[in-house]
Amino acid sequence: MRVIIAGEGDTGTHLAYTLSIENQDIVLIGSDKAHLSELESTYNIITYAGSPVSYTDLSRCGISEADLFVAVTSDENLNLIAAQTAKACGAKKCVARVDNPAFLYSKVTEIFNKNGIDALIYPERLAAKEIHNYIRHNWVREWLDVNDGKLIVAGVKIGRSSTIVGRQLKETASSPRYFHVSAIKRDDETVIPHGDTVILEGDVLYFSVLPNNIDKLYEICGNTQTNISKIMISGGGRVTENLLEKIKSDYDITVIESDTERCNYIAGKFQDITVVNTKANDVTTLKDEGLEHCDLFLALTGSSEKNIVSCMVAREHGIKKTLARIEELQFIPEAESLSIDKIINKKLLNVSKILDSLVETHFDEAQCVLLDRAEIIKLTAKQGSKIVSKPVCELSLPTGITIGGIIRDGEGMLVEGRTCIKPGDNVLVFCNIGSLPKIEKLFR
Amino acid sequence: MKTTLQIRSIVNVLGKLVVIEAVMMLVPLVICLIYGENDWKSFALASMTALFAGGIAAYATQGQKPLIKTREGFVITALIWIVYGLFGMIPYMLCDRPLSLTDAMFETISGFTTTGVSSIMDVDVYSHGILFWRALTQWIGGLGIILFLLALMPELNKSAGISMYYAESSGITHDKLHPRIRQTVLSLWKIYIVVTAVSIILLWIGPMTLFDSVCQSFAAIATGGFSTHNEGISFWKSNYVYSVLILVMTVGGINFMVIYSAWTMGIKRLISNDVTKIFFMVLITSYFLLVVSILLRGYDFNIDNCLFIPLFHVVSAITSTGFSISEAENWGQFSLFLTIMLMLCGSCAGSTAGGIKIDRLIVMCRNLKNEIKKSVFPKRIYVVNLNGTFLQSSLISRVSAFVSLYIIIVLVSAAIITLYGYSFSDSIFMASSCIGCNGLGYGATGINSSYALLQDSIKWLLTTTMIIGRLELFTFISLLLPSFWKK
Repeated sequence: MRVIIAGEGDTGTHLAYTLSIENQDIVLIGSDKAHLSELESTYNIITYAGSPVSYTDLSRCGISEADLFVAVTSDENLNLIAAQTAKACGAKKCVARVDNPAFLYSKVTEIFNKNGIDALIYPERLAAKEIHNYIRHNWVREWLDVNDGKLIVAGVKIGRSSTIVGRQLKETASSPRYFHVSAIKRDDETVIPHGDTVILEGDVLYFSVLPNNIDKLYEICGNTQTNISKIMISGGGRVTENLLEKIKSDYDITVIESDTERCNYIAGKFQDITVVNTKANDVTTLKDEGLEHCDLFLALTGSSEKNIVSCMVAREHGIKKTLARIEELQFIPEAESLSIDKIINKKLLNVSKILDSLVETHFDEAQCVLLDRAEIIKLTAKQGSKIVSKPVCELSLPTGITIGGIIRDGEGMLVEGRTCIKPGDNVLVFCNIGSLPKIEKLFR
Repeated sequence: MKTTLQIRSIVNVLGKLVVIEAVMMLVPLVICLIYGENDWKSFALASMTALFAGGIAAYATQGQKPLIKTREGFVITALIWIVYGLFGMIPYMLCDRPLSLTDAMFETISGFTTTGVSSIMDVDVYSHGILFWRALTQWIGGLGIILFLLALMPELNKSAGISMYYAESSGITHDKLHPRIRQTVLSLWKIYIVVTAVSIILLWIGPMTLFDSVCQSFAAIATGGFSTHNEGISFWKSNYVYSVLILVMTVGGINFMVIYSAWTMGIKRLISNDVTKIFFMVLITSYFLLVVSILLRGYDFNIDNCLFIPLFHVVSAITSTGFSISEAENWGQFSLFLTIMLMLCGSCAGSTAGGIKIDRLIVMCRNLKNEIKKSVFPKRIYVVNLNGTFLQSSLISRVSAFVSLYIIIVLVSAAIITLYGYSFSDSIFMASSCIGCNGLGYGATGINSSYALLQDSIKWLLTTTMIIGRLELFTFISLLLPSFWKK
């Protein structure tokens, strides 16, 4: 399958890297020749220097055979035009990144859909949604509602006080089963576990769990849910703006921003929140503003380093939960080891969203979440495909693939060895990156 | 004097505008003829004079392409109020019961600025033509002379018209309803005319004659306050008249832009507007305070004492209409205080009313609150919101300057009036009544006395403050700066 990515920025690069592992034919079109050739020599992709809105340049990339065209340059208008051009040139599916909420207004989206843009990606809103999820479920690292919460995927960091530390996965199984461990992230590796895998302290376990069993999961994990009422946010950028739109009236919020104009804008738009014009490292002022009494500290400035440092400062002042926005992917493991509770990366969120579109070109309906080096894909089982032929234990699923759960007739359920998947079920598949072809075989 | 101002263009435009006034004077002339009154001669003479003077001025400066920029627009806007006053006073001086120059000027400016203070002691003896002219000046002045002329003269519908429109219109920021200034002006006039027509019909249905209802409606919607009888509105002794006028005056106190958007986009717009909401809140609160103070003074608890008369007084004061009622004189010191406060406060910007304007007071109050909070948390950012948008600090400082200047003018004028031996409260009352284009009187200018009895010099002082107040201080006062005239 041929994927053309326009824009050699961080999002484009990371997407190219992720997809190239999936054995897709990736063409990256950008403007910086030196950077492009460097990428070409590192990753399994081909690059072109050219303009994504030029017909000749797009034809050179083989746009007419492209299954997916992704426009992720830094200029949203260029992205929109490029995606429409690509569609006109024959690309099957086109995705464009925007940074303006006005484009997500349903009527505007409709117009874009008509003009050939299949999906719009607005990273700031994705990030805000992710943060909002974390505020509500802050004992977990990841929280994913499948089919409006009929089935939940929760990524939990296992602490020392957990009752399952040091035990094999098969020992933790109870009858009836109320959770399924679908993936484990350990030392920067995400693996699909099997029954003999031993759970260690510091592992992040991805549980598939039914909503009414969440309490039991909470008990065994040994993490504490912090009741959030006062939040301090460092940085008043677009992510903050999107987040405030969701949570402005629910919490007592203080925003720290160093730019006066931006402060005025935020204070003018959101009247109930407190805006403080100072730098995030001005600890004296932060203390005056009640840093110690905050339950949650969100570091959302554009600088990853500042965010990491301010989270550590906040932690030192007794704030229970901290969240940092980190744009440099290479900092993420470091940040995680520094006991920052949650990390937000817009690029990973973008790539997840784009993978949706990619998977959709394979299967009619799909939802996809990227977990660093593993993916969660929600697919609909079709009549006559291999997956519905026999019970799960007899399917001999290839390594690196596990079924987290299914949604049948609108109700979530976990999968056991004897379960037979029926046509029409929504199946939640956990897999390592690069397993798409194998999954295709199962579901075709 | 050396100046870069385009004097020729200014004279040219002024000349043309005076010709329009000459045409306006034909209306009271016709009224005189209908009622068979002698005063038609004075109107004919005044109209001829204006036609002549305006025609010559326009003809003599013809030929050159008029060059009107911001400064010229300021000058025209400020001068037109004086020039219209000069020609508009001729009928008063030539009629059967002629007024002196001072009184005639005072009366005309009081009309055009919709103040409604009168130098005529006995209104009832004047001809219908004169009474109608008084009402008409108020009706024209209500939306503004320039706004009236912009609607009539398409050739002003250029950048010239825009600078004049901005110089005349009231409020913190100047909005347009439509991209073209003429469309905006016509929309405003449409609203104005419709409300006036409805008011005339409603009053005519009641106890008033057609003539009275037209004059009273003109005075009410323009928030002017000239009446056609000595007793004012009490003449009809009708609660129906009170209620209709309360309604019309209140409409006159709301921003016409807001009324227009409520008309075109639903009544929700009216309610969702910050300023309109607070205008009504202030109105209702002062009404309750007034009623309580009246009852505390031992007045009977009946519908007149508790509903119509106090409400009428409060609306008349806050909308700067200034229809006087005799009862107000006996309500005591609190009522006096409340009335002065309401006169200073005024209604919504963009209405026909005068005063500091609710908009500015909201901004001042919110800014004050923020400043107090800032002294505790110096690094916090507080902004002033008005109708959901936040105001730049430059606008806030402009509003503060306006309010300070307003108070200074009130105090200085009051100080001058006290030199003539009037009591402090009377002086303050007169000053705030005239700068707010209000027209209420108290004590020396109250029901047992009259503005007509004031000394000539005080009348000139008050005439000036009326124009300053109507043009919202800056337009007029900037003309007094030497730097305005220099290169």
